This record gives sequence, structure tokens and C-alpha cells, in this order.
Amino acid sequence: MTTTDMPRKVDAGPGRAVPKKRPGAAGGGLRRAVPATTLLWVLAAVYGFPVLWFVLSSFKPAGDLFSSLSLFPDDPTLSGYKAAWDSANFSQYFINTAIVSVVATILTVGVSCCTGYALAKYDNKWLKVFFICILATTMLPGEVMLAPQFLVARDLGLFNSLAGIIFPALLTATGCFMFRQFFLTVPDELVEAARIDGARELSIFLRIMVPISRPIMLTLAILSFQWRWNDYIWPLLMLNDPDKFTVQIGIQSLVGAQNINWSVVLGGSVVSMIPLIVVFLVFQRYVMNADINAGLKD
Amino acid sequence: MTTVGVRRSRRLGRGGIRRLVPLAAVATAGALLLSACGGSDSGSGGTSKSLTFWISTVPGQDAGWKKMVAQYKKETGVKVKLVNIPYDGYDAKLRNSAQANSLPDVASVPKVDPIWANKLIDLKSIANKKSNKINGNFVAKDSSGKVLAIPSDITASGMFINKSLFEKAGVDYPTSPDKTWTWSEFIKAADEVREKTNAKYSLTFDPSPSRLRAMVYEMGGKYVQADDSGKFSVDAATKKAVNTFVGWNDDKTMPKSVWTSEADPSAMFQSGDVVAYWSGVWQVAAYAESITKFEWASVPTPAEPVQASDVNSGGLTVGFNNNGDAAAAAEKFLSWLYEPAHYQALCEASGFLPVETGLNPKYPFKSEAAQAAFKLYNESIPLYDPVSGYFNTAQTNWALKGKTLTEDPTTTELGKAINGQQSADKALDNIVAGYNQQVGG
Repeated sequence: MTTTDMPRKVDAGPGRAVPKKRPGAAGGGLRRAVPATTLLWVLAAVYGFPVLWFVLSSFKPAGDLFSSLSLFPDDPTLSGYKAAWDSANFSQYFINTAIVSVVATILTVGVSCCTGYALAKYDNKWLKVFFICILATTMLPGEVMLAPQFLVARDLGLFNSLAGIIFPALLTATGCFMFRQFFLTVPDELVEAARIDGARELSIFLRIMVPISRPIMLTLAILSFQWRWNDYIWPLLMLNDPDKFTVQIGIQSLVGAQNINWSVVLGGSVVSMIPLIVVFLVFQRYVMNADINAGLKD
Repeated sequence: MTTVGVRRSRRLGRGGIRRLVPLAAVATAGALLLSACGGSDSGSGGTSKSLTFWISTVPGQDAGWKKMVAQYKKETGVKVKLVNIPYDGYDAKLRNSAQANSLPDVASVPKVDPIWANKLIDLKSIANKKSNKINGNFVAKDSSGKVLAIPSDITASGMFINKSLFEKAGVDYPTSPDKTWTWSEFIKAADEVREKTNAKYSLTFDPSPSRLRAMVYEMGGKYVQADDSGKFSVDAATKKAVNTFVGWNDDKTMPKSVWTSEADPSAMFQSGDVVAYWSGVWQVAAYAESITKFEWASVPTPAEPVQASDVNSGGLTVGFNNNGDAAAAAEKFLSWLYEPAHYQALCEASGFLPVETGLNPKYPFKSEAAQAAFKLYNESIPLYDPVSGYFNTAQTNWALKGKTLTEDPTTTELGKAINGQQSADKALDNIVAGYNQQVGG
């Protein structure tokens, strides 16, 4: 290309200031990066624009919502937020939902980790049957299982308690499957070496397997938190006492049979999104940074 | 990869599982501990001094209930706890609560469900009380004459217009139900307004069977009705009306997207780009607040030549027989609630159309349009043809026979007709078949 052996001043002119030792490297990298980056920005805009509009719309007064299709509110107001917050006992709902989501997430991750480990590293006929049973739960739509699940939960005395929305949600096929697949990739030599060093099964699991599965744990934690936070129909069926209601029940109660006050719904929805975003921002760092192929290389 | 699996099975045997038992034990113990924390009261019903009352309203429209409950507490010392249940999932919640034996003592429900209909208190003494003047057409009775539910209010389909556009175009519209217009006159006027003002559409029409029924009734049809043997059919006037309706969906008079792809007709009307909106009285309170960029008005329902609408019960007030004390207290509360003075206060604060005749509620709206709208609805309802209440009564009768119209095929089938996938007549055939299958016989 434009490279020559002649040393040039850096400001010699446009198109000529290419460093001597990297013939075309920067240009090539740029050429490859530009379309990919552009595509990513376009995708980000496509996904981000509705969210941005949604958030900005929540600051519009009800009368502006449909009449002016401008992106920014002419006359920003928090009236939607205020109406949503005043409509019900939202602070209590937030506390309830936080308890449910945090407890359920911790337990789900714990249970899935144990289950996944057992399914991956132990060999037993009944374990396989159990695994198939877990997988089978994904093959039925949730609505089908709603009624029987309700009867079981009721007979266990979980009706109208937060435990009633935590326990039925603990064992998820997705979580078990994620951990099983991960532990399958962990070489058996790791377990064997620990055994030779005299480690007991429990300490192998707790001190070796649990720490290396951190990225999976955090991924599942994000997912599980999101599931529990957005859960609607099950909490609605299980909870009778408005002091135990969750945020989603509160948001849904803003939507009427015949008409919807959009400005109030928007305000409520934006508020309900915040904890999820915070959880994602906190945990995603660990997920992205962690090396999923932790452990020995096979 | 497979070799690892094979080796795994040799190396890690049953001994490992046995060693994991303590972990499982710890997990189970933790789980039991947690479950012990919750799951206390699965109580069935209240007491003579404390009742639970389930309602389903949006914020702002629960004001009337709150007021009445507070007043009741003051007068009698009985505490009524209001619980607002979201509309979406309310039916399922009632059914499950019936199974869990944890129904409320009083509730305002969307419809009577055979699953819990046998647990209802007979409200005959309230419904038949002369001084209450409750319109008997809307009371839900079973075949033995037991009164299962009394509406908390009634709702009716109605027409909204963008008054600003009408004025801009210089087109007149009727203001009194005595001198209303026909559908043809209305469409002509709305089209004229659209053309003169460059509005997008003349009319948006809720994608709802109820709104279509109202229009069909007004054009002299009966929509889908059953004969004595329980077999459904449609009459010639209905066919004509439905064909006319499908014809209006030409993306000029009416947007196709509302009936075919769930575009929000109310949002379109609120944008100010639509001349008129066929919806119902429940929008009034919302529009009093949310429409600020133009003037709107309720206009009399068209009559061609039948003066009618689809009149339904807004919510059905029921009492559940949870235990003797609570049931007596619930009946006493409802009896108090439907005394005309108290009921009028409820209607005024909630923006309800009263089910009791002879009331003259004064609604608290600041918006003149809303005041005029309520006046119009209250004047119109006594004029409506009895066909207007057909569906409301039919629905309760189906429920008592253990049947529900879980999915009215109207919207889907007509959506296909509007989309050109089938003729309007074929759509009606399919709708009739759907009714026969779900609630026929």
C-alpha cells in the first residue's frame, strides 16, 4: 500500500501517516471492526429504542401519551409514578417480592447445583430416571400443572404464605440442566485427585465443585431472580392477604377489565424494572469476567 | 467425551451418594424451617365483626368502595377489608380459592362460576326489597328463584366523538337520545368530518363481541341467540348488520388493524386522529383525565331503528357462605350497601351507572364532557329495547348449567373476515358453531 521505506513526519499529510512497521494492519482491523460495530450499534438501537420510549413516556402526562408522538415529554411529570405508588401498598409489595426473589434464587441455585452435580458425576439408574422426570417438567405447559400444583401446595399448608411461592419454584429443569452440562465438562481427574488427597465427597463438592461453577451460579441467579420477580399468576393464586402481595400483582391491578390508564401502568412498570436492572448490572460483571472453562484442561 | 462418561461411572459409585446424604438432610431441614415460618392462616371467612371484600378495579375507581367501607365501619363497627384483585386472573383466583376453602365473604365478581355458585348467599331479601328499586332484569337468579348476585353497577356500550373535529368540519351531531341518528347517518357524518379535517379514520370500534352485539341490536338484529332447545342461530338482520360492519373496515372508515391485529382503539381515539370511538361508559372517567388535547363528547347511540345497546352488569356483588356468623354479617353489609342513600353515594364516588332506578347521582367529575356523558347514559338506558340485556341474563343461565363461553369466537372469526380470509356469512356460521359447542344444548 502506501508504505515506503522513507521515514516521514507524522503530520506529513492525510493518508500517508501510516506507521512503518504495521503495513495495513490498522486499516484491515478497522475494516473488519466497522461493519461489526455498526451492526451491534444498530441492534442495540433496535432493542433499546422501545425501552427508551417506554421510560420517557412514563414521564408524560396521560393527555400527552397518545396525542403527541414525540420522544421527549414536553411537560415532564411524575404523576403516573405517584398515582401508581399511591394506588396500593407498593412498598410492602416490594419487600415481599424482594424476600421471595432473594430466598428463591439462593435456594434455586443451591438445589440446582447439588442436583446438577449428582446428575453429572454419579452413576445410578434412579438418578437417570430422576433426570428424565425433571426434564419432563419442561415438556408440559405451566398452565396445565397450575391446578395440581395448587392442590399440592395447599395441602402442604403453603397457601397464603410467601413460602408457597418460593418452594414450588425451587426445582427448575433449566437450572439443573445448566449445572449438569457444566459439571460434565469438569474432568473426573479433579475429583480423583481430591480423593487421593483424602477429601471427602462433601468437601469435594463444597470446596472444589461449587467454587468452579461460579459463572453458572451467577447466570442462574440472574435468571432465577428475574423469573421470581416477574412471576404473576402463581403468586396471585397462592396469596390471599394483600399484605403478602407481590409487585406484579400490584402492577396488574393497575390494568382494568375495560380500560387501562397507561400513564399509571408505565410509571409502575418502570419502577418494577429497577431492581432487575440493578441485579443484572451487579452480577453480569462476574458472569462476563469469569472463565467458564475453569478447572483443568482435559 | 464418552470415555469420560464411562470412567465416571466406574469411579464415582454409590458410596459417593451415601456421603451426600448429610447435605440433602441439611437442605431439607432448611426447607422445613422456612415453610414453618409461613403458611399459617388458611382461614375460611371472617367473623361477625370483620369481613373480607374482594373487588377488581383500577386506581381511582375504587374510591366509592373505600368510602362505603369506611362509612360502614363508622356506623356499625364492622370492619370490611377491601382487597383489590387484578382483573387478569381473577376468575382463576376465585376458582382456586373455592378449592382452598378461602373465599372472601363479599366480592364483586365479573361473572358467576358454577364452581362456587353453590357457596353463594341468597340475596333475595335485598333484590326484592321494594324501596331499593333494583332493576330485576340484571339480577342473577337460579331456576329456584334464589338471587345469586346483584350488579354493583351496570355498563352500556356508547359512542364517543372528537367534538373538536366535528366543530372544525362544521358537521352537526345529536345531543339527546330522543333525537338520535341512524348508523348510516352517523357513518356519513363521520366520513365527512374525516375528509374535511384530514383525520386518519372515521371510527374505531372496540374489538369486543359486546360492542358488535350493541350495533347489531341497533340495526334490528338479535345477534347469536338460542331457541328453546338451546340451539343457536342468527337472523337475517344480524347477517346484514355484520356484513355492513365488515365493509366499514376499509382502512378509511375504520382501521383494519383493530379487529385483525389488536391495535388499541382507545389509544387511537386519544391520539386525536380519529373522529369517533364506539366503546362504553367505563371510558368516561378515564377520558375526563386523559384527553386534554381536544374536546370529546358522548353522543346518543345510533338507532336503525331500534334504540338499544349492550347493557351488562359492571360487577356482580355476591356474598359467600363461609360460616354462619360471617354470612349473616355479609348479608347485613350488602343490605346496608343497597339502601338507596348508600348506594347513590357509592355510584357518585365510583362513577357507576346505578342498577337501582329513580336515583339521581351527582358525579364528582370536573370535566363537563364527563358530566354530560353520564347524564346521557342515565337518560338513555331506560329507553333501550329489552334485547339489550339478553346476553347478561344468558351468561348467568349458562353458568348455572355449568357452561361458560370461555372464548367468544366473534373477534377472531370477524378478524378473518375483515382480513379477506373468509366471507362475513362464513364467519357468522363459525361463530354460531362456537356458541353451540361451548354453551349450546
